[in-house]
Amino acid sequence: MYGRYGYQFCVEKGDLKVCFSKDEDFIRYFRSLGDKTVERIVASESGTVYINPVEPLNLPDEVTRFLEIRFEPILIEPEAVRQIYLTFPIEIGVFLGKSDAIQLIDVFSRMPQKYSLYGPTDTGVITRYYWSAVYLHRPSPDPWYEGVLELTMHNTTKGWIEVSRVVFENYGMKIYFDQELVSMKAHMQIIKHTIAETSFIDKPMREGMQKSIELYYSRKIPGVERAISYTMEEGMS
Amino acid sequence: MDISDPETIFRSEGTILHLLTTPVIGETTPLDLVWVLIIFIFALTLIRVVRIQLKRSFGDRVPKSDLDFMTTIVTYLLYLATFLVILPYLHFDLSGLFVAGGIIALALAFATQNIVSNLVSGLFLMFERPIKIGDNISIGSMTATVQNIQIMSTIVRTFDGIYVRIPNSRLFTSDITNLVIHPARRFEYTIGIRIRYRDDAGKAISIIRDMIDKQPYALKSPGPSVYVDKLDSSSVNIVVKIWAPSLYWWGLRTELLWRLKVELEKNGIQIPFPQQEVWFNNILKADMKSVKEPPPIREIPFQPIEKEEKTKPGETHGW
Repeated sequence: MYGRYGYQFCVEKGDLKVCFSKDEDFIRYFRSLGDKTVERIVASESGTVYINPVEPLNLPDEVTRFLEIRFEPILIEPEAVRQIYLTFPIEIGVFLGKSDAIQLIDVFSRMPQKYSLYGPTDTGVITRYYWSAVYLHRPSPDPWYEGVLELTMHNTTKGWIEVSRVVFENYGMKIYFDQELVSMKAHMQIIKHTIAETSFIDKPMREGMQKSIELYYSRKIPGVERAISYTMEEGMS
Repeated sequence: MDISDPETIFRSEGTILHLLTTPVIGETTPLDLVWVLIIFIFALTLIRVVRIQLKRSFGDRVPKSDLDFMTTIVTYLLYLATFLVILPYLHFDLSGLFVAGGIIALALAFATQNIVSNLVSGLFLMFERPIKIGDNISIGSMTATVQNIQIMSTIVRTFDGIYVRIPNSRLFTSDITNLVIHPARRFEYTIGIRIRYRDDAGKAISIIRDMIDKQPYALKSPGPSVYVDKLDSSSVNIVVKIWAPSLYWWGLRTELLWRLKVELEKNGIQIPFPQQEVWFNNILKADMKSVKEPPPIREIPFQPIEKEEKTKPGETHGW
């Protein structure tokens, strides 16, 4: 169901229904999921409809730009590099595209939303909260519910570190998808006992995956290839 | 007149140049005034262009409050620069001002005490930044949203939509409560949730916790506190304290209480009315046989309301 479509189509999956239909000179968009329906009228002759997963930070409102995934505590030995797999919630965006102009018209999700606070109540940040199990091998969740995050943790300190959460910033979140998998790759560099730097890697988890349209994109500085990172200063557990 | 000599032309009375270079106010000539006007118009245009460019360049990257603050600072700096550029054309002797203007400055200081106070307070507000544009604040008994922080006053809009201008000196010396400066805040249901003594408080707490957990804006961390607070005369009182994002707490607070009530009732837990047991010292004797049953409720058949006849314009009533 993820992919590109023309202006006349209708797809259904369980209780989800997404339809575009022509009505004289206008296009009608209809989406229903559970007991919620959304209808929009589009004035357009021709164009492309894109349906793909987007950064899970839009529902029920754009409350924050941080995604926090919590998981079972993992103790990492000094100067070790380990890779784990986590899951993240999926939000699906419906875009209209004409030439280079792309417009988001709807975002929906099958996953419940929950927010949390990372850090103290005066200087912390609100985060989109998600609990994930820890997988040592890539899991295969339903791509309409959850995506897979490949997280490489690098403990650069001389001590043992316990990690049970990772916080990412929306800018630079790179989501890839195909019909069976939605994925992200990220890196977490533990700098001190309570400080770590997180960033996304702009690569698919396997070949043939398409890159999602980014809602939050950062302007690249020519010649500077450094990934956009977030510094977790309030601990990792 | 020798027209071949430029100096002669320049000094000749009646020529435009002569008129332009003849001092009219002190040493200031009309030509100086023209320059002042040109510089002023240029400065105004420049300020406008700079403001627009700032908004275009940073509008989508910098928060609106920060952008407004930056624009205000740049605008005032440009005004100051314009003033300094204009001064020489007006032949304004600053050294003279320092010597002779002491007394005037003192008099002005007294006369414009409030204005200066507002100005200085405004600058402190801009740099200290206890409030930003868009913040919800409480000052005294008023709760409002900050619309604009100007150099002399701050404009706020109350939650009733009323425009209020507060002089900066008053604002600066007031106790300001910024309701949204921290990312999260806690609220509680002050009356608490009351359940009957016969109901299971543990089950009620579990239901309340589950309901809170389903609310996106009820923060996971710091988590909510739900506990039995008081064994009251006719109820067991449960207190609920929830952390929420500062900008979303009110919506959550207003929605959740009713949902909790409905969910508790669905699970057979009721919120009791205040009740009191009365014990009589003597046994009351009442002859129940003499109490008659109330008369049966008589059904009244539907009767359509007769339409009133409307009088047409010009017609008189029957009386």
